[in-house]
Amino acid sequence: MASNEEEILREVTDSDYKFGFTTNIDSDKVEKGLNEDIIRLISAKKNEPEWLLEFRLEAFEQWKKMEEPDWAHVNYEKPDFQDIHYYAAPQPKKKLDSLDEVDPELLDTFNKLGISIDEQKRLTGVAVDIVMDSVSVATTFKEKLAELGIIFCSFSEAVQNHPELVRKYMGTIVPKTDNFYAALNSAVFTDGSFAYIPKGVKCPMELSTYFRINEAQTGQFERTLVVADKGSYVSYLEGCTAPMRDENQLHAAVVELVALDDAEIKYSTVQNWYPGDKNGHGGIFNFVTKRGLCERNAKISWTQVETGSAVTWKYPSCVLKGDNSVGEFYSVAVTNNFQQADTGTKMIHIGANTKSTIISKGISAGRSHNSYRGLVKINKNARHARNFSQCDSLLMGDRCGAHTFPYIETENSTAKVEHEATTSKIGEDQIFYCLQRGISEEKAISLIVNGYCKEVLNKLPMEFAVEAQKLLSISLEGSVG
Amino acid sequence: MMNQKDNKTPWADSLIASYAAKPESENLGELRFPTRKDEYWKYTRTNQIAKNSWSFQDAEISSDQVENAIDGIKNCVVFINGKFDAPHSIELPKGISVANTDAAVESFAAEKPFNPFRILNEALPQTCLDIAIENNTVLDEAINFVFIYHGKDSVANPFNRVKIGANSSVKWIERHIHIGEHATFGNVCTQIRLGENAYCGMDILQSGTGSSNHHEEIEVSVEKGARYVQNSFTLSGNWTRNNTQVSIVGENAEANLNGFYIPAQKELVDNHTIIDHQVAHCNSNELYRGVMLDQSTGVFNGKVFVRQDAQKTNAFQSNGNILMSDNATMNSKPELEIYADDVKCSHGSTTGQFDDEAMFYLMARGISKSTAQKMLVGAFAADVLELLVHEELHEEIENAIHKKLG
Repeated sequence: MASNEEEILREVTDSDYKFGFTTNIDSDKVEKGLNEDIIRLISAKKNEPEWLLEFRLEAFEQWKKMEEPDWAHVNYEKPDFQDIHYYAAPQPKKKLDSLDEVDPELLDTFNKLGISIDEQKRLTGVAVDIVMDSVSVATTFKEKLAELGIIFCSFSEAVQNHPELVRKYMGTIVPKTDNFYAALNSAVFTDGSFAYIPKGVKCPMELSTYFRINEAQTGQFERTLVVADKGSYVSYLEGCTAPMRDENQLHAAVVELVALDDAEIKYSTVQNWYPGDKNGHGGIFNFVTKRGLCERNAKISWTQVETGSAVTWKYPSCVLKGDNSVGEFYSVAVTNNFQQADTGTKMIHIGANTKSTIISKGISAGRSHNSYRGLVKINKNARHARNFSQCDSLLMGDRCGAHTFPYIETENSTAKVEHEATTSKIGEDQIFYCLQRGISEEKAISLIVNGYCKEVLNKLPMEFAVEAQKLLSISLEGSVG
Repeated sequence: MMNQKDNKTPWADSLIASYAAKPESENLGELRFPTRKDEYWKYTRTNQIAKNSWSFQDAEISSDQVENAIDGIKNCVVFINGKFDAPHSIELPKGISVANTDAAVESFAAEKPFNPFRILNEALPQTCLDIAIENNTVLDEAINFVFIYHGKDSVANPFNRVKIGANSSVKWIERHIHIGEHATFGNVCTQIRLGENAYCGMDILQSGTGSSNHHEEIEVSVEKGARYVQNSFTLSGNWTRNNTQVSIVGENAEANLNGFYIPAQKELVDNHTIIDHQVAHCNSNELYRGVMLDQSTGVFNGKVFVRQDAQKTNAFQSNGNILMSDNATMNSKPELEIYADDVKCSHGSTTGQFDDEAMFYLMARGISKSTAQKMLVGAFAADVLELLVHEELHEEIENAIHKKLG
């Protein structure tokens, strides 16, 4: 389908191409708007090789001809793409002198999440005199990783230092014209992360963007590429449980995972961006394209906890190309107030004996809408493919919505595909039981919700899981009564 | 959208010209059949139907052929290519009337249809079957409404209107039979209005040929305390699409939609259902099962809407499929859209094959592979067959399934 679409696109867009503009603007903030000059400028600022500039320009050419998709079950005001700064050199944040200057509401949340004082200072941009633990930790980690031959750096560094790897894999999983937002990202991405695990190496620690302090502000068009070479293993953490007060309204990231023969990638995300206020004003649009490719005997496992953003639109997918490969998707999506989430996965079974598991837990409260949208496709040659999907929705309040849109396409008689979905609310008897034992209603709800999501939370790395549990309770605060 | 190819219907103009009364529907002039870019038609092509040049046919059909088709069926009301056929029909019971028509008939629906098949049916019907049952009436005897389609490139647009008064109970069997070797196109629309505490039970049997096309639209509205049961069995036919839309508008009402389909060769069966829960305290159940043979395709799309006011709704949906060949395809899309919190809704969908062990068990006892298959398919279909409104159809359908399995 994708290649077919691409062909059509190419046909339609086979128009002439205007080269030859150079630009001499030398400020650190480019004016608003998106055009070829801006893209050339971004590329030049980052000192990128010619092929990457071509990649960007081609993506931009295609993007101009694409329409913003509107099939998702979300309503929002479409962003004005000419009203965005596509390049701004990292702005030094205003340094605060002490935590007293920080929004007390934010500090309150930090305390509930159990984030240490030092960490809180770092997150809020308070100047710290002592060397923070995590900085030294990061350096030791980097040394240790380098010993094993693991490359873990920012995308820009990777382009400079390992262009052969980046060029080989970038855009192979998510083609630059895959969809509207992926094309936009391909044209204007500013930075992101890159990880390469060499053959047979088991990465000894969780790779996390969290440790790459310098690169914390990767901007709104982030690009991640993780390549696990034959027989390797890596666990990658994205995001952070701490609330991110980002100024950018639109986030369109692209994540590509490549798991070569016998490799395994575990990719965990906790997303807690600003969801807008209680009346539904503001908040971040999170339109992400995430996809992984599994070669023979490889395994990719996506785990996500989505609590933030005003509009989420995200389908981490697995292309199970190699025989015996495995794809997993575990998701908890929580929406409250006026949040909208349309999230799910695609499991494309191509190889024989491929297996996939989908566990999706949606929780909607307030006036929010939470949809699961997924595709399970068993191709003709995927003999003995196996899929199990379970999508549960929990509704809290009578103004919210929970929806399920699963697509199940089977073209092989030896495949076994199962899908089930349920929708329910928290039982009054469950609440009553807790209240009787002196547990407040709010606590009771958090208890029940955590139990409901346990299957997914169990898949997260330990520290992450603890934080995610607390995060769930905070996200649902004020949703009862 | 880019490059979207429209499924133009060049025959529509001459079809309109051959129709006695000038249809008012302004949409008809630019009739376009949907393409696979339409979400609602993602898995079902209509281009073969759009391309063919259809016309109204009064081609001769011998009495023998008709009798052959209705052999063994009691209480028949027969329609041939959409026209009422009195000689083979019983005397119509009170409340049921049929009119051959050559002008658009008044639809129950307030809104203009947007589905091109419906537009065609509404503008150019040949017959209007009216079932209008007064309050407090029970029609016990099962009537067989038999629709026969035949003749080269013939199209028929039967339109059925059913209004069942309060506390009344009606049941009937609808049979759609395509015969002959020519391409036929049946385009049926049935509108049903169920009054308070009424009951309506309907079994639909569809059988076609290697070049038949069948589109059936059923639109139901269920009032307070009423109960609607619909079982459809698609036993053969080159291209079959069933759209059922049930709106539950009164409390304590119930809707049950069940179906079984067994396409073979290159046949396609597409069942689309929508159950719209608009009010509280209602139940709906759906059970669709299918067995796909050879290079056939099965499609199921079941949507359940639970609106904000529809608290205490129980909605259950289940779709089970067996692929018997590597070239068969099944596309299943069970959907839930829920806006109320105090509800119990679930759907399940499975696609797989026979349990090897069950097969082995039977074959180890000296049962041939084909008999074992028949037994297992029979058991799989039995869950739907048990729900038949007219139990006497059980054997007939089972035989048809066995015949299909060869």
